[in-house]
Amino acid sequence: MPDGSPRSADGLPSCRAGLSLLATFFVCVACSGPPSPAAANGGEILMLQNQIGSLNGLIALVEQGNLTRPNQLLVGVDEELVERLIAVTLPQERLVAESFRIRLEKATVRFRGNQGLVALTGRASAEDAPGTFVDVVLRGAVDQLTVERDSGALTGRVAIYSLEVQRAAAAGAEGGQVRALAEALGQASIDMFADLGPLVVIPIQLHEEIDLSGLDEEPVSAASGSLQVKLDVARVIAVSGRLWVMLDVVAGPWRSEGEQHSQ
Amino acid sequence: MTKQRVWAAAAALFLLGAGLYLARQRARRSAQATEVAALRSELGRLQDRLEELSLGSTGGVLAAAPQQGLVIGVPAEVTLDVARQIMEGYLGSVTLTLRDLRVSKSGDVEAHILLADRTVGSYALEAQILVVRTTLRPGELRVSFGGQRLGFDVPVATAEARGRVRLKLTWQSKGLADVVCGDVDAVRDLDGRVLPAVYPMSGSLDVIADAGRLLLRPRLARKAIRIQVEATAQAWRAFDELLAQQGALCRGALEKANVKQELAAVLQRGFEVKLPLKLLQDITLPVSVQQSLNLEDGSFMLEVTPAEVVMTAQAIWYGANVTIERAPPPPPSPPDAEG
Repeated sequence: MPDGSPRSADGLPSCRAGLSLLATFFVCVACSGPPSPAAANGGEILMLQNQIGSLNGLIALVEQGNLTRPNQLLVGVDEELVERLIAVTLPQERLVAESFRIRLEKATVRFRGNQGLVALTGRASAEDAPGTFVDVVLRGAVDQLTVERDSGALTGRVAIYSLEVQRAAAAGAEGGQVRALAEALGQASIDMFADLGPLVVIPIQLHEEIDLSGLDEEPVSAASGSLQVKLDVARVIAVSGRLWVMLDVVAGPWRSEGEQHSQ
Repeated sequence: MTKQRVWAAAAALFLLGAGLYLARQRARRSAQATEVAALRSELGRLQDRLEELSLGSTGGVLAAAPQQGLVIGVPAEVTLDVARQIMEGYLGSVTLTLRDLRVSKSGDVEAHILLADRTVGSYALEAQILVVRTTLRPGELRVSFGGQRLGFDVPVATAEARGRVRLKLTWQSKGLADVVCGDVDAVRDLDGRVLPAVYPMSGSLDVIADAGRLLLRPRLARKAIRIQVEATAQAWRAFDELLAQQGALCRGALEKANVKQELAAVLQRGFEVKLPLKLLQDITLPVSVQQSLNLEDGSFMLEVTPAEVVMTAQAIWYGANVTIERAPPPPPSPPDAEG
């Protein structure tokens, strides 16, 4: 060899070196450590472990009688009402990643065991072949409920975490296209469907000011005023067919009209 | 070692490695599948446990909630805190203006004249508050939970205040006294002082579901308070001067009638001040059910049917049935006048 490295005429030394490297690699791979949760089902294991941890904490709170605090306002909505709140916004049709058109037609809601599950059923079709479609179910959960400061509404969104292809609607000559569509949907990143999660507005209004009007009726006159109230979502649990929202309440101070003007 | 043998050994090692790798992967998948199944089973067990607890007595405050589609629970502590701060804050800004309030006292004076008791005259005293302003200072509100209403009581103090009081004294002599004394008809405007006092104010707070709102509606047990007024030292001096202007006989008769003490007693009994019904207003609790919704794709109307208001020692519960439908589209804007 021009580089002058030691080598026999048949090239055996480099072969042996390659062989030992290969052996080391396979032995390492084969004998690698215990299964990592990050691999394969690792994501699901982590998710389940988190859910179990959270449920154990919740059960402990219920058993100790500490699920709610005395300063917490409680709002509960049942599955049926949330279903109707979502249903009135359906059907919804969206183009996803410029490839699929998804039309959602029905929502099913289930609140059990601290899981607020929402299943949205509909139909997906390829944008370039509208006649080819499959039935799909998007599964998600009511997520991130917050108090909107301007309107006082309690809103959240259904976070989509899985898409299932239910049934191929076309057959025969179109079977290949349908399979291709189903596969393409299966391989798509779940993030692509995030926008399909409907907004959930719990139809309550939280009042951050409680007003009292003034009075001028002899012999009494009184200044108008308002009580400031701060409300924040402390905990959301889904149990026994209801989604419960627990809101921390801090009331005060009272401000009468004179004080408000002087500030 | 020939080249072929080396390659054969390499292939064998490759196959061995691949086999071990696949076996390892299979074992890993199998172990993970077992773990997932176990975790799912544990999750299901815990979910069942949570359901069981939340439906039972250990579910605490949630177990007492009504069964309607939408429920709101306002804990006793929050209700009490809101009611206390509002009532104390509001009552603390109240000014009472007492104007043209009158109290009076009249009587006959008898004297032993010519071996017999005879009426020598009659007097009439009237105290009129021209105008006095005082402020209220509420103490700590106490609220009790019971039945479907809350009871409250709050001590309310009136601050000391000064104002003008008009005193009117009328004396009509009779018989012999008429000849020597005559009649007196005197009016004096004097300084008066509202005495600081504490009045217990009590009543109830009815819990009302009004459309989407949950209200506390106060009802006062007594709708009046009695304000006590005291004449100032300067006022008494003026009164004494008025008496001093009368003749000796007449003065004697008025002194016999204890007019000064009667006047003090009249003022001390006080003036009843009626409180307007609107003094305490409805208190809206800080959460209500919306009547309409504006979502990303349109407006919706909600029909809220209040179904139940339940009070427990822990909370006020409001249950409502809610139906929802898309709001009709707004009417088309009128065509242009030019068009």
